[in-house]
Parts: sequence; structure tokens; C-alpha cells
Amino acid sequence: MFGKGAKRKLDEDEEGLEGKTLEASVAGGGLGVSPEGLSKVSYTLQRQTIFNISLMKLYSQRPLGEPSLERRVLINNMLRRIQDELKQEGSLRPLLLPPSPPPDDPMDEGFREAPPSFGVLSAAATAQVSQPSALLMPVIAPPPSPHPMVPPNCQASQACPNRVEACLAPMEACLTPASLLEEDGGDSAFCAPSPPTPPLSPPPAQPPLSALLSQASPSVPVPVLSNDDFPSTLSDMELGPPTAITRTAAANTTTMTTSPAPTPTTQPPLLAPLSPSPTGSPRDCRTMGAKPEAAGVFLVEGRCAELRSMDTLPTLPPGGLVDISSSPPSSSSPSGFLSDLALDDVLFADIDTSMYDFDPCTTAGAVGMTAGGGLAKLPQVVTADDLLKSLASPYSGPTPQVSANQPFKIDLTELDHIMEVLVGS
Amino acid sequence: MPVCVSDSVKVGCFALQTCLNYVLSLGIWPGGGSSDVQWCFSQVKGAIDDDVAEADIISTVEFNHTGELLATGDKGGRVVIFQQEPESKNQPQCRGEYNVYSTFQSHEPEFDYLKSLEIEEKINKIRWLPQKNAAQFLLSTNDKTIKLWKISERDKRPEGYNLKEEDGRYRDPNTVTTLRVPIFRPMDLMVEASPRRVFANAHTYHINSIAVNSDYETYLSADDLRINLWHLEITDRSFNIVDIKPANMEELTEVITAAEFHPNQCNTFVYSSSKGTIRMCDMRASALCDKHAKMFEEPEDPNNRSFFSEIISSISDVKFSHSGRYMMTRDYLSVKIWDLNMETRPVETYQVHEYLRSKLCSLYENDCIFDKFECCWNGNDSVVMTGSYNNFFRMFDRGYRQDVTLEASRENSKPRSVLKPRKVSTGGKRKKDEISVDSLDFNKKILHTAWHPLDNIIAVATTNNLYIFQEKLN
Repeated sequence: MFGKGAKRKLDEDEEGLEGKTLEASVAGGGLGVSPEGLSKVSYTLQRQTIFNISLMKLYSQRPLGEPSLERRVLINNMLRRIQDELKQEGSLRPLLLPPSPPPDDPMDEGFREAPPSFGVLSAAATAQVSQPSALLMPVIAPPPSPHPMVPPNCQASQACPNRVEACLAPMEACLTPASLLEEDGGDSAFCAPSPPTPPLSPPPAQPPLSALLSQASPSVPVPVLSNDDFPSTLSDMELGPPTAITRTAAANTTTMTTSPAPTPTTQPPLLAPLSPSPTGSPRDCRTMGAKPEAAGVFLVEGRCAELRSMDTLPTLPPGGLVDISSSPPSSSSPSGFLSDLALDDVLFADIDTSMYDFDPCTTAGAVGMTAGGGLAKLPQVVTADDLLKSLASPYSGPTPQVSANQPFKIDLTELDHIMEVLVGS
Repeated sequence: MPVCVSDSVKVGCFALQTCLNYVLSLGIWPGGGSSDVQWCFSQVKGAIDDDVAEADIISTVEFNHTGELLATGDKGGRVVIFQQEPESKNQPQCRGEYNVYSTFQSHEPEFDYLKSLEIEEKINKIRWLPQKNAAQFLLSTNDKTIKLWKISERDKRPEGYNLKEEDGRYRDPNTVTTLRVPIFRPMDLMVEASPRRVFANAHTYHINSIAVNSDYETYLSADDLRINLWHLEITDRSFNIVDIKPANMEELTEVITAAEFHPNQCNTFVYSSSKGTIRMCDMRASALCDKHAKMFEEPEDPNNRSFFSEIISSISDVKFSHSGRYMMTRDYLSVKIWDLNMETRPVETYQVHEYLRSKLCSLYENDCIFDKFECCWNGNDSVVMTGSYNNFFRMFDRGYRQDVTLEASRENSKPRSVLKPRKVSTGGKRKKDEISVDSLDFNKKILHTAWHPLDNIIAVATTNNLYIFQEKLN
């Protein structure tokens, strides 16, 4: 598209990013190939973008008509493929089978998309993490959070709520929006579809979406389109996932505020399944981390052009993705999940997943953007104090395992220190 | 000095032969196949203003078996049938125009109370039945219900009843003094459409195809997961012949996208999938044709792999050639011709708009990547046609290996004005008269095209207009 030394026209800026990204990824062979260095980042960036877009497509529903089954199947396949790829890249522990979904509604003729597991998102993070990019090191300055940075095995713990105790710490780093767990449908967030059987319960609706978005967003955030929600200055942001993916749909359909689920403590009903909660968003924004915000903002701008044309904001129909007829309303959680995860709710109630900040995805994104667009700002550092603020529950569980190929190492002494503080308090 | 006359003559002949071959290959030799066809604008139907009413969006176009009738279905559930005027003696070279013959409301919007979903009245497909008597029959379908319509003409009416006045009022029998025999008198032509059969409640998912069998007694209807076989006379039952619904819907990864009967073999049909495969089934083999007799699939080109490989491989249309030897499939970027005897790869592949390959991400975002383009053969299977964006449509001449891009727009709509070939510039430098990829209007898409079965007349549907183009005749 661009000749050697050809000046990029202004009106092509929209395509510029995509074009370069695509070219890079195409050059790298696209899906299934590992390009080197920069194009790998673009590839990951693009993958993340497509992931987000796919999610948004699945979750926005036309008001009256039944969405096309073929379209849903294709988007779902796309998501699954990305999931699989992420899993392979992250060399994660195999996902455990999720709790059984609620019994099939005999009337159910609907097709339930498999909501990508949070594990996938963390895998995405992990995958990014595993990039041998020295650039990432200085970006994430110590003190690192006590949250283990997206250890690969956290995903598994997400997958199996029963193993929560064992992997508590990793869970947090895996960015499971604990607040989501409080939500009715949030339980499904714990269900990671194993590759062959996508599984999940019907209301994959909001909680997964928000979680996924927030997770996925670190590298390529969906732009915050709700004017009142998105703080204009970074200083407004506190901790939290930088990717302020807060979109408030003004549509007449049920709206959902997708926000990174950073502070469950401060905003219990992070997601109101069936009612618009624009009021929730400001709170969300407030808690968003500033550091990756820079990256987030830049990416937002970059992506804005792309996503301007995006269709309706993610509005979650009562039935989620499922055939409306067949799915129970999202407000009523699938009973199967609730029973399994009641304990988890308690455990995770106060966990703040603002440790997103250290999500390497963000930095990868930042790096990618730097390469692609000259992002100057680097993510801020989240201090240990911030982390402590956000951690409310006792830190039980073994020392989180850190995969050897993570570019930034968690200072175990720091971790111990923080644990002492927590236990002591 | 002896002159080698014979050698020079040989050389001369050889040169002449080469020239002849070259000229033939260019396709400009007069009288040579369809490569020298020039297309002219003939008519355009539909509203002129840019504000498109949703109900007017054309959703299907189909010529009948003689080409005399052209049916269109729209999103509002209406069917409009155009009839070709007989060739006038004044202009023997100009083929007749198509004028409205009949308009009727085929389907109405419905509401599925069980699922709380609206059932669109949009006509997904129209298929004509071969004419057996004075009336015409066609099948039209929306997402859930297929209807058999009878279109009949009435140009005479009885007059002279004994017990009824001319306006229909009954006469007092006491006033009847004489008897007469009613006679038929000519009247203005009236075309009536009446639904003769309604084939309902057989599909859980959205019907995407209907196809009439060559036995003219049965037809199939295909939705996303199942294909049913009907008898035209029987509406209260149908046979399920293909079912790809998995036991666990969460394992669903592939859906049926189109189905078609073989034009000659009444036991053979094909169905295409969202994964780019075509399965041919023989109904003699078993009642349930889940096991295919043949599967046509082209291995993926590793150079072109991308995130969207699967989506763009989804087949949006499948059409048998008139001869029954080949079939054509349309996926997002290309048209492929398959020899029914070779399952491993298509015999011909034509790129419709390869320049979109680098735009797939955007097209995925704005959903254009899910557009379902149709394709069609010409009468002698030598040329295939399909639509594209920006109101462009493409023709591929199989024999001469040529292709042309034309545009359906009101700017070229002077009667009998020749259509100028269009070109999309893919490189950095845009030549004059070329359109750059970024200037393409992706809202102006030509999804439905039809080719007259016998003549070089084509019907091309833009969003809400129907263009009819004819071959330029001298």
C-alpha cells in the first residue's frame, strides 16, 4: 500500500495503522507463524484487536431479529482460534474443565457461543509477557506488585474455581475481575472453555465481556466512547486497568457498562446485567490506572478511527449470546456455577485487579505503538503502596509461580513484605 | 539467382497464422464467443432518491426458464415480476423491455411467540417452476416459510348471466323473462397471484436456499443446519435429508450456507458450508444424506493465511452449470469453478476483488466480510458473473480468460449507452478513470445478479434498484 518512502496521506491514516499492522502480520505469515520482533508485536496487536472486535460483535444484538447463526458461528470460531493460539503461545497449564453448564433447555435450539475464558485473556497477557523484549523491562519499574505477573498457570486456576485457594495470587494477576464474580453471571467467568469443548453457560453476557474487554484491552483497548465517563486527563485515573474500556450505550436495548473490573470493593455491582449503569462508569474510570492509560489513550486514538465505524456498543441482551428463547435471563445465574463459586465470591470479594497495570500486554502494546506510531509516554509505575491499598483480603496461597521467560521478575522479597503487611493487618 | 520461394512462403504463412492466433486470443474477432460482448444499459427499476426505504431493498433476483419473466423479492416481503415485451417489429434487433407484470405481497412479518423473536418477511429466494400450463408458478421463501404462488392471467370475463346483473347484484328471479347463454368477453389483462401452497413449520433455523428438483415434483429447502425435501403437492410434511446439528450446540462450528439440486440428475444435490466445503449427496444412497458422496474442498494457500481465512472461505452461493458438468461457488474474494469429477481443487478460480485482502480487518469490523454475494452462469456456461462493492459487478469469460468490471449506476443510464469497463487501482499510482480501493463505497454492494437463460440480458440488483443490461446489438 505504501511505496518506499511514500508519504502517507492524511486520509489514509485510518488505514495506516491497520495497514502496517496487517502488512506486518501478513508478512509474518499471519496466524500460526511467529514473526520476529516488531512484526510479532503488531501481530499480537492485531490479534488482540480482532479479539475485541469479535467480542463486541457477539455481544451486540439486533433488537428484534434473530442474529444470523452463520455469523455467530464464524465469530465464535475466530475467538476460539485466537484462544487456542494464545494458549499455545503462553504454554499454559491445560485448562481444567469448567463446571458443567446448566442443563440444556429442552427448547434450546440456540447456539451458545463459548465466551473466551479469562484464562485466554491472561494467556494473552502471558503471551505478551513471554516476548523476549528487553524494552519491557524498564517500563515496568519496581516495585512490582505482589501480584504475580500473569503467571501462566494462573489461567488454570481461573478455569477451576475449586483450585482457587491454591492459586489465589495467580488468580489476581490473571486479571479476573473479581467484582465480576459478585455478579450473577460472573460465575461463568471462571469457566474456561477447553479447546475442544467450548462450553459455557449462557449468560456469557456481561461479566465475561467486561472482563474480557478489560483484559484484552491492555494492548488494544476499545476506545472509550462515552464522553462523560472517560476522564480526559490521566490524573483522574487511579489504579486499575488502564484500558478504560467504558462504553455506555445509549441504545434502547439493555446497556452495559463494560469497565475493567478493578475495584470490586468500591463498586460492587460493577455490571448491572439488565440495567444501564452509567453511574458505574465514572467510578470505573476513577480507578483506572494511569500508567497504561497513556498507552491506552494512544491506542484508543489510534483505534478510534478504526472503531468509529463499529457497530452498536456492546449491549447485552437478556439472554446473552444464546438464543433468547433458550437462555435464562442473565440476571439469574446458572445454578451450576453459583454453587461452585460461592466460596470464590467470598474469597475474591475484595480483590482488586488493578494489577492490570503490570500487564505486559499493555507494555507490549505500548511498545508496539512506539514502533508503529511513536508513542512517547510510557506507562507509569504502580507503587507497592498502591498495591497494598487495593489488596484487602489476606493473601493466602503459595508463592506465585513465575514463568521463567517473563521479562520482569517479581521481587519475592517485596512479595513477602507485602504479605506480612497484609497478614499482620 | 535461385530464390527460395517455398521457404519465404512458408515463413509468410507461419507469420499469418501467428497473427491470426494472436487476434483470436484477443477476442476481438467478430462473431467469436461472448468475449466481444459489449453491454449497454437497458432499464433501471426502482426509486431514484438516495434515501433507501428498508422495505425496498432487493433481496433476490431470478429469471424464469424462458427468460420472459424476471422476478425480484425485497425486504418488505413483496415479489415484483417483470415481463419482457415481445420484440417489436420496428426494432427487430432490440430485445424487448421488461415491464411490471405482477406485484404481490408474498410474506408478512411474523412473530415467534415462543422465542420472542420477529420473523422477517424478507424474501430470501425465489425459484421458478417450469411452465406446464397457462399459469406460472414460483416458490418464494423467507426465513421460515416457503410458499408456492400461482400467477395467472385473466383477459376474459363472462358476461350475460341470467341471475346476476353485470355489476354482480342478484336479479329477482321473477324479473327473468328470457334465458341466455353467458359468453366470454375480452377485458383488460389482469394478472393474479394466489398462494397455492404454504410449506411452513419445517425449519428451526433460517432458510437460506430453495432448489427445485429436475423431476419438477420435489424441491429442497436448506437452513443453517438442516435440509428438507418437499413434494410440491404436500405441505404437511417434509423429509429431512441433511442434518448437521451437533448434539451439543456448543460444538457447532460449521453451518450450511447454500444448497442446490443437480440440473439433470434428480438424485444429486450439493450443499456448501461456512468452512468452504461443498458436499455432494446422492439421495439414492440413504434416506439421510449426512454422509456425502463427494466433498469438494481446496486446501488453504499457506501464503494467504490470516485471521480471516475461515470467514472468507465461507461459501455464499453455489450454482450448477446448465450442463451439469460443473458447479460454481462464491466465497468472499473469489469465484471457483469445480469439475464435479474432481474434488481436490477447483478447475478455475477467478479473483473478484483481491484488493480487499488487505482490508479484511476493516471489513470484519463493519461486517462487510459477512456479505453474501451470489453468482450466476450465462446460458451456455461460458461466462460467469458476480457482484462486488461500489455497485461494481464482474464477469469472467471462461473461454477467453478475460474479465471485466462494470458498474451499475444511474450515471451510465442513458438508453443503450455502452458500459465502460471500470478498474480499481491497487498500486500506489492511480491512473485516470481508475478508482482507488479506499474510495470504494462498501454500502453500495451488488449481491444479487441474474442472467437470462438464453440471451445476453442480465439483471443486476443494487441496494434498491434493479438494472437490466443487454448486449449491444448492431
